[in-house]
Amino acid sequence: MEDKLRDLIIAQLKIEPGQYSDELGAGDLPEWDSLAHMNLIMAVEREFKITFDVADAVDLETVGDFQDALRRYQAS
Amino acid sequence: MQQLADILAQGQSQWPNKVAVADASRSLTYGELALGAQCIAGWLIAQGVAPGDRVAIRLPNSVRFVETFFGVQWAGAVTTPLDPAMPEAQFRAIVKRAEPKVVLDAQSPWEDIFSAAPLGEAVNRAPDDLASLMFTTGTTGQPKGVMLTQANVLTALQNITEFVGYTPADREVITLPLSHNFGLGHMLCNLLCGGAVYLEPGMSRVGRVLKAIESFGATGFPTTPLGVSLLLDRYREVFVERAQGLRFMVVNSAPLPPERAAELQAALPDLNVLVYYGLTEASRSTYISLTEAGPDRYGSVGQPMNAVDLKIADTGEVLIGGPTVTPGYWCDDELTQATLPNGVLHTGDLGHLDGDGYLYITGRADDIINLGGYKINPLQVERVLEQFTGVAEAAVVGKGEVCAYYVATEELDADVLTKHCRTQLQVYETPQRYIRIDALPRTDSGKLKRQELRQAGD
Repeated sequence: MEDKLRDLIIAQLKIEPGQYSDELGAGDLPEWDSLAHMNLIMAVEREFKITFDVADAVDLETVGDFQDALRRYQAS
Repeated sequence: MQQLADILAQGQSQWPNKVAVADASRSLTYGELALGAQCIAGWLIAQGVAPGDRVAIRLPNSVRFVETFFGVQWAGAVTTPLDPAMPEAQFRAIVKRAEPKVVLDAQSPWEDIFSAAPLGEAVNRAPDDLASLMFTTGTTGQPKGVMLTQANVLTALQNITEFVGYTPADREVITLPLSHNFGLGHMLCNLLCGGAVYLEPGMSRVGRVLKAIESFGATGFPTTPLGVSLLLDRYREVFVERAQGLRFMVVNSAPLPPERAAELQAALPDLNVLVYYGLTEASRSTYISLTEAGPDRYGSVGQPMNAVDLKIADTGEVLIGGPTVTPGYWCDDELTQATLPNGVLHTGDLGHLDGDGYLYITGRADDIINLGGYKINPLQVERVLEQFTGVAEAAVVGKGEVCAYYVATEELDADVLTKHCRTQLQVYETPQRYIRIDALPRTDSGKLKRQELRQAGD
């Protein structure tokens, strides 16, 4: 899951692999602005065939948050 | 109130122990804010900054930005706020043009700066002296520096304050960039009235923004139509739950579609939905409370503010005169004369007034693309694209996104084009779509038929 998410985020934000880390979050790079963030959430939902609850989506800020949320959603 | 530095002096004397400004990591009272700004002013003067010198501020929305802004004003210098996300090439072009004496950014020696002896009294500036130099999207592809005097800014602040009805109880969450007039104006108005502001660099960390609206006890939230769409489309339940304390929202930078206004009002029936119209060159010029005016006027941007002289030219262009209008563009007499003949601003916006004097904006006389408040000059994007080897020529139009048409002998990789653009353009200026075509549509005289591309199917 982590590799798939990594590839998706790099492709979606059009960033270099070296810019990626678990701590990277919305607003840290000009490429990850509010619109890109919304598009990223939708892309993750499509790719992993899940739908985040609004209350969860609102707390997705960093790569680590996406990883944690995906683990929860895939386990349930 | 004679100059912007007086806002700080007033806060220091009237509300020294009241919180003035906060961000995710700290907050300052008016007294603490004043002391920080006075240290910055003392340090700037020790660096040789003289009244009228430009000082660039390249910081994100933060407590530090506000301290720095007032520090520069206190020193009698001209604030030149710049978006920290601006690519280096754009930054260098602006620095070359504005020639700031000092650039204050995250790497500045802040420990030394705050160790400087505070400057007790603000340097006196006259109403016609420059207060701010604001860089905006130019029509020629060059950044243009809008000069705003102390009187320009203070008159605009007074108008906005009256319109919004600010009180010392108001607390605002500001995500709009302080490097632009809209966000900056709200910060200044709020502090002018003894309120408090919480600053967040944009809406990307929307969870933090929504938490702040609730925990900071926000009564006001200025945003763009894009911000309204984001909140209603993606985060509606949480937004509505946390925005119950909001007294007003102000929407500016681009027209708020009437259906969005209706949706926002239905989601938060007690909210006062306010809309401004204005350009950096004249601050806010018209205003309307959509809540008070009702659905019949959801498509209007309102009536002229106090002392604003608004007319519609025979061509349909909106013309603005009065005390909020800039004296001109920095080091650009040609552009000043073309855009501000006789001191009247030719906005480039097309519009009409109804029988009651309400303004309706119908489009642009030039080609600037406005995407939910982000202004993009297609010429600038085209120039960057045409520097890419293989692109013979390019044309850029807005079609709900930035769409680039290019002429080339073979299809070019969109990701590679994106990376090329991002070296010189802001992310929002970078095209989202690239379409190769055989030739750009042109008139017999060779003028690009941009409208044809706007209407072209995919």
